Amino acid sequence: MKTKLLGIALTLIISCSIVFSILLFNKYKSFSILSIKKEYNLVVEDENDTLSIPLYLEKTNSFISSLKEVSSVSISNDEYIFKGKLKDISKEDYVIYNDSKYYEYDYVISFLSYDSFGEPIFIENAKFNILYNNSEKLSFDIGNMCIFFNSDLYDPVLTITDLSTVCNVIDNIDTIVGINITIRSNASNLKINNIKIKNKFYDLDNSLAINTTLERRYNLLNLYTDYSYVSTSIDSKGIDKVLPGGESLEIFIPIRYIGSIKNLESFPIYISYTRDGIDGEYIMNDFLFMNRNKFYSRDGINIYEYNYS
Amino acid sequence: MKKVIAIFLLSIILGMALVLDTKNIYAESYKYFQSMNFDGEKVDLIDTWSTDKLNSYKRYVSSPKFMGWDIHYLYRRQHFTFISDTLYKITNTGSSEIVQTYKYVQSETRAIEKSSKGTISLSGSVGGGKEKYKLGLDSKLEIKNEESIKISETETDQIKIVVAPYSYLTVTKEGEGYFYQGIAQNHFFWVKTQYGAFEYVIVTTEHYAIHLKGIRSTR
Repeated sequence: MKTKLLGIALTLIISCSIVFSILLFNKYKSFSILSIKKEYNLVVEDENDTLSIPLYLEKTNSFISSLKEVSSVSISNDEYIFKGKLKDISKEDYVIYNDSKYYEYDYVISFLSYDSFGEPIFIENAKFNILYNNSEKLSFDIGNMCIFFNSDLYDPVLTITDLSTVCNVIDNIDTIVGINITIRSNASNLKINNIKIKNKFYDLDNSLAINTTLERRYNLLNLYTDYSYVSTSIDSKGIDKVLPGGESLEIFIPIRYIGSIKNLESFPIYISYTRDGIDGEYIMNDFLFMNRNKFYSRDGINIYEYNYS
Repeated sequence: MKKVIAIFLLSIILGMALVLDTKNIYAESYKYFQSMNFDGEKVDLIDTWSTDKLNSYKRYVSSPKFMGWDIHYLYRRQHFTFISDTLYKITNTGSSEIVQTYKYVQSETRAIEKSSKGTISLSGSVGGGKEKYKLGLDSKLEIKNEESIKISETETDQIKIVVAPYSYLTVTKEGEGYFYQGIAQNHFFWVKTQYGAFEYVIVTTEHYAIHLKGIRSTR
């Protein structure tokens, strides 16, 4: 009888130990990853052009931030998918968000050559996808991406000699409301047709261009009567200014937002011109005009929970 | 009994000695901005203060206190703009264009910078933007952890810039943020142990601009 009871007790102890071990060592664990949604505007000339996408990981030393564990990367939405080549994952300093440490990893990617057919490709609600060798696939929301593939950026017919932005706080969003630009003609009788960003959510409104430059912070409502930063469309009228050789055009052009204000930071500028009856385009590739402290304003930060066992 | 009292007094003295650590470390990169504009207001950074000036503010924090910090703000969330150094300069003395690659990584700015004067001191990775005022002054000043991070870098690693013949191109950086400055005094059992000034800035945005100028015209 005693032996039987001892056997039952031992069996119970062993069973409980096994259950505890499973609970303890095979505990379902997770850690957080942050991505930032923003407006990406870029011109890709060749495979040497790179794009850095930052991800903020609560945990270091995971396969997620290991370059050799990555099988492929891509940028996609419901309409498009662009394969990229992951060139590097560089570890940066940590940030503190919601009282937790997050280590910044910059995923440096280059794109394969695509044809934009002369117009930028707009990837709304873009996702950054990473496929790992262990078949794990992670996707992060990174905002909107406007990407233009062009292998011939250099055009000597004109020179941009000054470029800066005018900013304002609209609807509590600190953003760009226009650009100051000075263009010098390197050819005789160069006709500047229009100056554009070519983004479907915002663009330069050439019909409101004025021949002067403005202070960096300027309320456009003081300048234009009945002006609205947000519009349903942008006037297609151009600049249409002829510049003799060596002459400069110094202008301010406001940005109009379609639908809603965006946090705008960088974008390329497309200058359409006519020379000797032939149309051409000068592209100033994406320039960072403004850099915002996103963790201070807490804008566009997404939190993902990565679960692992 | 005497031994117990002696040990108690010794502990207090040792505690006081630790509290009275007067080592000053400065994180002062904002002091090297080319200029700072406080919306037209004249502001003296604490680095330029004389001892007399520092002591003249003692009246603001003179009330006795059992323990902890007593603070008085001279400037609280004062908006400011700044002009930083020229980030990049490319000179072309030749007769043909230069296509130069410009990397933004050089434009990294810490979002928060702190400094102190008097016996208030900083600890941590000083200069890296993560330094803290000692003895819990950060929490008394309600400095949020989220603010102690760098401004994000741009999404593109590099852009190409064309520099015309006989000209130089500069990329400049300006920005804005909020400025805090004040006086603080720490107490330990009603004894004033530390007195000094604190100052910190939070950079919220940076703005970049390109300027191309002829070499000859600047001579």
